[in-house]
Order: sequence, then structure tokens, then C-alpha cells
Amino acid sequence: MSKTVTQTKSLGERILAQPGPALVWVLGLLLLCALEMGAIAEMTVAIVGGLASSFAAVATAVLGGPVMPSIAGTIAGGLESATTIAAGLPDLVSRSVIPNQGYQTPDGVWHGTFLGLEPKYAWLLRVALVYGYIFVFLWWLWRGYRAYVDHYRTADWTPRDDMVRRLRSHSWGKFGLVVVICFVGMAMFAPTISPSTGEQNMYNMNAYDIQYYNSDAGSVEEISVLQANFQSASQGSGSQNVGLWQYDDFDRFHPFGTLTSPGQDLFTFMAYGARISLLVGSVAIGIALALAAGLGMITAYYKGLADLTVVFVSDTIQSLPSLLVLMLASMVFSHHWLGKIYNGGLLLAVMFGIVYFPNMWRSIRGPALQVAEEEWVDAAKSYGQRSSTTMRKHMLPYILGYLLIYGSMSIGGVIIGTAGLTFLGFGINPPIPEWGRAISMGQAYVTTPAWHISLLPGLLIVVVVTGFNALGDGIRDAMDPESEGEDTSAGVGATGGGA
Amino acid sequence: MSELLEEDSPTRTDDGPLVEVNGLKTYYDTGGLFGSNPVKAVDGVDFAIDRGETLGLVGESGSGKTTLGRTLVQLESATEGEVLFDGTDVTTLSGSDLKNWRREAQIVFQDPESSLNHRMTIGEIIREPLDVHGWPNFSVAVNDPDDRSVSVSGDGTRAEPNDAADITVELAGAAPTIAVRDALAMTADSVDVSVSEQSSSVSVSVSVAVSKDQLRRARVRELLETVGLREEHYYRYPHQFSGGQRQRVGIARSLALEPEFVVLDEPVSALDVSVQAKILNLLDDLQSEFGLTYLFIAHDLSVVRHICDRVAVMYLGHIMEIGETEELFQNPENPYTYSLLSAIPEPDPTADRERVTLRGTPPSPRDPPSGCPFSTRCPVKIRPKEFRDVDEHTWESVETLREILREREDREMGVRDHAKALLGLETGFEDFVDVAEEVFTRNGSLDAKGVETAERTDAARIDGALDDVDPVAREPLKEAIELVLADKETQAHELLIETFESDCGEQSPEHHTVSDSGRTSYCHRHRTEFDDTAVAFDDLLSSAE
Ligand code: SF4
Repeated sequence: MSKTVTQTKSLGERILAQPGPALVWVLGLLLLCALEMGAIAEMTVAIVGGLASSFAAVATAVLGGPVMPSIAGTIAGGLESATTIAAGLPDLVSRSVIPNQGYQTPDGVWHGTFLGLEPKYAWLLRVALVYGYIFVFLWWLWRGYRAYVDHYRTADWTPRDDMVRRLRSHSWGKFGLVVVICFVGMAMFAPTISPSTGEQNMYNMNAYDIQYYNSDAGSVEEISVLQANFQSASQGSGSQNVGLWQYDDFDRFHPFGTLTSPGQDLFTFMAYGARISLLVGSVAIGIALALAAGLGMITAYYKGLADLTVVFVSDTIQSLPSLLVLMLASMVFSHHWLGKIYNGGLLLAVMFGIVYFPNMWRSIRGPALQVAEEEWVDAAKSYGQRSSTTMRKHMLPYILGYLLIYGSMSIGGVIIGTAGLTFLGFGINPPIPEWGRAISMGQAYVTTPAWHISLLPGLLIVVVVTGFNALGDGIRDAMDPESEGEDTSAGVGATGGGA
Repeated sequence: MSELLEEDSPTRTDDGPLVEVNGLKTYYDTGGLFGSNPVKAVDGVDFAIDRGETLGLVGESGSGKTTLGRTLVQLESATEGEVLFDGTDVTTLSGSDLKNWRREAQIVFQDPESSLNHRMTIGEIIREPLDVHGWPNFSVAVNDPDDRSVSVSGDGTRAEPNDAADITVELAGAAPTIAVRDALAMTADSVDVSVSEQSSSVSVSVSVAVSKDQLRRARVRELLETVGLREEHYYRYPHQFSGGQRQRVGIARSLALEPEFVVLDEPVSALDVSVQAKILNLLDDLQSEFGLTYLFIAHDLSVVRHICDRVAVMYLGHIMEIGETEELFQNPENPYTYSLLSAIPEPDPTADRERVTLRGTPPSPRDPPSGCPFSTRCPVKIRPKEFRDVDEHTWESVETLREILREREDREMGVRDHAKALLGLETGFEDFVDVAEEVFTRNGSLDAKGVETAERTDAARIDGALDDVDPVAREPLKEAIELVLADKETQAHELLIETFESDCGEQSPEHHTVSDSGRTSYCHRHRTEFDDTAVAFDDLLSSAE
């Protein structure tokens, strides 16, 4: 028993002792953030704005009366100024730096596009830069983790290292990860990677004008976007169709073609639609996971009556025909304030969360019970650890992996379900773009040249859902090397299905 | 530290035992909501553990020994009875009292694979109890020659009268002198004390310059060394260690809060034989270094013999015999202890204790036998007077039949399945007549007796089988078999109980004191009217030859 106080350095002190790698990394991160300040601000405003208007809607519903206009007004004003500020922030890769909208005069020269490039090349360049940025950014985060492991972590090995290593050598999982990153990137950078913007293309078509070269009149003329869209709608006949990778009569480039009347750009629709899908999916899965994890740990820790109650509740929920319940809820709440937030998106997310939780809880229950039986849980009790801390520290880490697996495997189901409900006209109301609506709009044209309207969104859903499932598979195999190769889908296999 | 304890020990030993258990019962109801029979894991035990003593607790799996150990550290709540720790009944503690008491009593688990959270580093694992209890709480003892009332403020708290204080302030002399307990990795220089003295009171303000975080880390390092690990193991994970090393970590964690009492729940049974001895030695050293009191749970009698001062033998929730280790091993008084000891190879080749094999498996603790818990398997069970002289074969058969019927009542399963299981048969019985034949004929079947296959009507077979049985018992047995065949199993069982039962199955024995050192045994045989255990076993074994 020596009396010397051995000093152990905290993370901060360890960094101070060897600041090099950390400094380089932070500088790099700042630089990367600075490059896309505007886009990051836009995303924040979009999210906060959504929440704020939901709050306003809720407040209107709850408080009602004359208080409301002022609150709503304040929020609207605040949002507007925030949007302006966000728009004013510099962006290296943005629509204003690399514009793709312009017109071509008969001499073949493009006006208004980036360096006079053809719109499709300007657009491609922007998309490539955005995805390049995303992957560089993620790589930089990974480098930060490596720097921490190599220079600052006190443990030379942790159980997580093995998982990371196994995930890195799992090609199917990595494929899933790339798909998921592309999807999330599409949602996050929707305003930048779309050929048009949401405001112009969907929400406020009448308020925007575009310039085009009118060959009949032989001059550059202006037309409102609404008008232009009407004239470039895809109706399935040869003359009334703007298909894949085509220009419309107003020199606008449509990578995925246009929708039916009023002929919006499908790619823009899809990119903004990714936002709503991701939002509904992640909120729903977040709710389901939080319920499943919380109840799973409580039932495993206390057993007995707690367990029985949850079994009863989840059985009740599971015995309901979920698709019908969802449709009914959308109908009932369609005029209620809850049904108005995100045009029904929040309602749908909450409902999906509730419908999905019983299954997830059942899947988590086994692992949770198993970890609750471990002696380290008893040990924690024996020295008086609080039960909530015991659950968080000694149980949650062991079910977190399962949560990730089930989460990523079920989010596909929610995306399909949302699209399905919207397809049927119950889910998310216009003008908010939702992939399912595109599918339903194009349904009548599948056999015509306008096949792209239904097919592309359908294909994209398949790819995204597969991606999430692949990621889930990868996480599962990384967590539990024994499951590799053999079929454990009975145990850990909530694959994404419909609602 | 050791000097401190030695100073304390003499005064404390006079206070009586550290742990005293009275009429303790722990029942579990695992059957769900509908009030099924609870599992009577611990069914009324009394004993005491002295300070600094190691009490061994031995029993087969399912005897309730682990539940008893867990109840002592309040991991299970007692159904009835009390556990006095230093005179306080800890079964009634709750909230912060319970939490404070938990510092005093810790447990080391059986399986070091399961007792350490693999997602935490060794350092975090050992440190967690310290964090939970806000260790150290800088308890301050003020030694005032004038005995004035003392108040403590600042970082310190006032020490409880009996506890070793973290900081001791001596007021005699011009300036107060400060001493810091050895367990804290800091010197008196880090403690700043300001004293303001009034005529009737003293207020002491303490400020400590070292952070609790540093003290805890230092404490963990010191614990690592204490249990034979190294400082650099702090940041490793359990997976990087061998079983023996992990058990050392578990031991270090249990010692972190400086407990007085440690329950060791089969601490070496999951380990390689080669490291078992090392861990046992470590436990022994720690006991003498820190003056610990142990309850050592084991199913391995040989381990117990070397490490324990006294041993308690448990069967089906009851303590069958408890006493000084050597004495109990040399001269077991209880039939159960006797049978257990005869099953381990005798290290002394001159001692010719015969091996006794126990029939069947222990009954379910949901439905223990009435009377003595061992009565369904006891080889020297007391017989009613009229059957005292029947031969061993007859008695065995009667007991076997009773066991079959008993199990049949316990669980609603086919009687044949149980009979088969009991007799270790693979194939066989078509019906109960086969069972009877198997049970009562000397070599298990009628074939050797020349009963023609064609003649084998049920009645003939039963008569044939009972031929081997002592005539005194034949009549009631025949009647019982016929009742079973008439589907009146319960009546058959009752008839057998009525005819063949003695005190063993009817009355709970008492804990008879059987030696000068205070050993007790839970058995009717110690009543004056019956033969002693040793005599009974001698008779049994000689008749078997
Ligand atoms: S009381 Fe009877 S059955 Fe129990 S141990 Fe003693 S002799 Fe055996």
C-alpha cells in the first residue's frame, strides 16, 4: 500500500500531451464543415422548421383562439429569416455555384448554366461533388476514430474492435452501408442534388418564372414554372412524354423524366421524397426501438407482473390488423391537428412505431432476459447499484446490437408501408412528395413510354430496403461471428415486410 | 490496515457472532400468478458465523445452498426469519439503509465468465462499487481530549462511532494533528483542517486537495495488486484474461468497499484444477490480511475440508449437520453427512469406511417430504417396530415402491416413465405388474424362478414377485399393488405410508447437539431409543455383505 498518488490522465490531458493528430483532425473537420456551411444550415432549418410548425399546429389545436396568430406569425417570421441566413451562407457545392438551369440559343450556346455546360453535365458534376463530399466527410470521421484509437485510447483492445473488424470485412454489409449512405445523402442534400428545387418544382410552382428560348418567336421568353410543367408532363404518348435522361421543351434536364400532370421533375420529387421517407422511417423506428428497449429491459429485470402486462398489451396490438388500423387512424385523424403535422407524416410515424414495437420487443426479450440472468447484473445489485443504472450500464450494451439489427431491418418495412399507404391515398398528403404517390400516379402508364413514373420509385424502394437489410445482416454477423454462414433468420431475422 | 483491525478485533469478538441466522426461509414462486407450490429453497435454517471465521456450506445442487448465500447478502428476499448482521436484522432494511449495509457484505460469484461485464474494462468493473457508494466519503473522526460536541463541515462527514474513519483529527496539543487512513492514497498534507473551538463545542472544517476520482483510481490499482494482478491490467477487458485472473478481478471488486463479510459462492468450481489452489490461497491470505469473515459455499467436500473452520451440510433447504470441520469429517453423525462422506475417496487408506450409494435423486423442493427431508433416500431410515428385522431387500423394495408412487403424485406423468427412470431401465414395462415384478424380485425378473411364461397371469406374477419379500410385509404390499391396478394410486400410497412409516417421515427431527464442541445434527437417530448413525450403517453394510 504505497501512498503515492498515481496520476491518470483524462482524455483532455492525453490530447494536450500529444496534440498533433487531434489538431490535424479538428482542422480538417472545420474545413469540411466550412465548405458546406449553407447546406448544413439548410438542413438544420428544415428540421427545426418542421418541428416549429408542428409546434405551432399543436399550439393552435390546444390553445386555439387569438393567441395563435401571433405565435404562428413569430414562428413563420423566424423561419423566414433563418432560411435567408442559411441561403446567405457560403457553399462550395451548391446550386448557385454550379447552376444547371438555363436555355440554349440556336447557336448551340447555353446561357445561365455553369461555365456554359450542358445542363446535364452541370447537374452530374454537382451530384458527383456532393457525393464526393459526403464520402470524404465520412472518411474523415473514420480517420478521427482511428486517430483516437491509435493515439489517445487507453485500452489497447476493446470488444468493439473485433466487431468493427468483422463489419469491415463483410462485403454484403458494406454494400448495405453504401446504399444507406447514398439514400441518407439524397435526403440530406435534396435541395442541392435536385435539378430543380422543392419550392419551384412542387410547393410554389406559380411563384417562379423560368427563361427559355422560344424558337417560334425567335426570342428568349419567360414562363411560369406551373405553365412549363403542364406542358412538359409525361402522359404516356410519344409527344406528351419526358422520359429518362431527357430535356423538355423548356431546356430543362430531367434525369428521371417528369411526372404526370402537372409534370414535375421526378428526380426532385424523389429526392425530397427521400426526406419524408427517412423522417417517417426513423421516427417510427425510433419510437418502436425506444419502447422495445425500455420495456424489454424493464420486463427482463423485474419479470413477473411487468412482463405479463407487456405481453398482454403487445398481444393486443399484434392481434389487430395493422394495415387497417393505420388506414383507419389516417382517416380519423385527417382533420385533427395530429394528422396535419408534416401532412400526416408524424401521425404515420407514431402509428408505425406503435405497430412495430410489439414485434421488436419480442425479438429483444430473449436477449434481454438472457443478459438479465448474467451474474454481473446480480453483482451490481449486490453493491447497491440503482436499477436504472444497472439496466443502462449492464444490460443495454448487450441489446444495443439487436436494436440496430432490428431497427435497420424494419425501417425498410416502414418505408414500404408508408409508400403503400400513400399509394392507396391514406398516408402523406400532397404537396409533400412521397414515393408511393409517384408510383400511384404512374400506375396507369406502366405499359406506355411513361413507365418511368412508377418503375423508378418502385425500384428505388427495393434498393433502399435491400440496403437497410444488408446493413442489418452485416451488423448481425459483426456482433455474433457464430451466425455467419448459417441461417439464423429464425432468431434474428425481422426482415422488412409491408405494414 | 492490518494493525487497525487487530486493534479492533478483540473488542469486536466479544460482541457475539457477526452473522446470526434464525429460522430463515426463502421460497420462490416461479409458477406464475396462480399460487402454485412455491419452491422451498431454504426451509428454516439457524446458524451463526463468528468474526474472522470461515463457515463452509456444502450440499448437492438443488440443496438451496446458493439461495441461502444469496439471501445472506440480500440478493434474494427472505420469506421468513431473520438475518442478524452485527445485531441488526438486515432482511428488514430498505432504501439507503440497505445500500449502506451492502458495503459490509459482498459476494464472489461462481462463474467469472458471467460475473464480469465484458464491455467494461477491469478498472471500471472494480471501480463501480466505489462510484455507487461515493467512496471515499472522507469520514472524519475527531479525538477531543475535552470530549466536546463536534461538528464537521466541508468535504468531510462525521464518522460513525464504530467505523474506521478516513481522516482522524487529534485535537490535543497546540495544532491539530491529522492522520489519513492507509486505504486512501493520499497523505495528510493533502488535507486542510481548520478548527474553531468553543467551550462546549468544536467545529472542524475539512478540505481535501485530492479528487475522489484520483483516489478511486489509486484504490483500484491497489486492489489489483492485492489480488495478484498488475496495474496495467486496468484498461484491459475481461476477454483478455484467463478464468483464474477473472476470478481475481471478481474478488477485487468484492473487496473494493472493504466489507467485513464475504459470501464465496463456489468460487473455484468453474476453474482449472491447477489454479484452484492458487485462488484458495489468495482467499486465505486476504482473510488474514483484512480480517474477513467468509461463508464458503461448495459442493466439493475436499475443498471445504482445507479452508473452513466449520461446515454446514445442507439438504433440501435444511441444515442437516453443522460443526467443526475436522470433527465432522472424522466422525459424521448425520446419516446424510455420512453418506456424502462415504462417497468421496478416503484419503486415509487405513480408515475402512464403506461406500454408501444413495438411491434416486433428491425430491423436488416444491414438494419436500414430510418429516425428515432425507427420509425418502435415507439408507438408515428408522423402521416401524414390526419391520425392524425384515431383510434389506424387502425394505429396499418397499421404499422403492413408495418413491415411485410419491413421484407419481408429484408430477402428473406416466407411472411407467418414472419407474423406468428410477430403476435406470431403458425398455420394459407394459404395465404396473411389470413394475412390481421389477421391484420385488431379487434379480429383477421372474425368469430365473421357473414361472412359465404361459402361466404368467397378473395374479401369478404378483405372487411370484412377492415371494422374495419377507412374509411380514407381503400382505400390505399385495393389497397396495391391487389398489394401484384398480387405479387407486392415492389409496395405495396412503396404505403404504400407514403401514411402513416411522417418525422419520412423520415428524421433523430436532437439531440434536452431538458433540462437546456444539455440533448439531438434524436426525431422529440421536434420540435415545434408536441406534446411532454409525451403528445403523455398520448393521446395514454388514447385512449387505
Ligand atoms: S431422521 Fe430418519 S430419515 Fe432422517 S436422517 Fe435421520 S434416520 Fe434418516
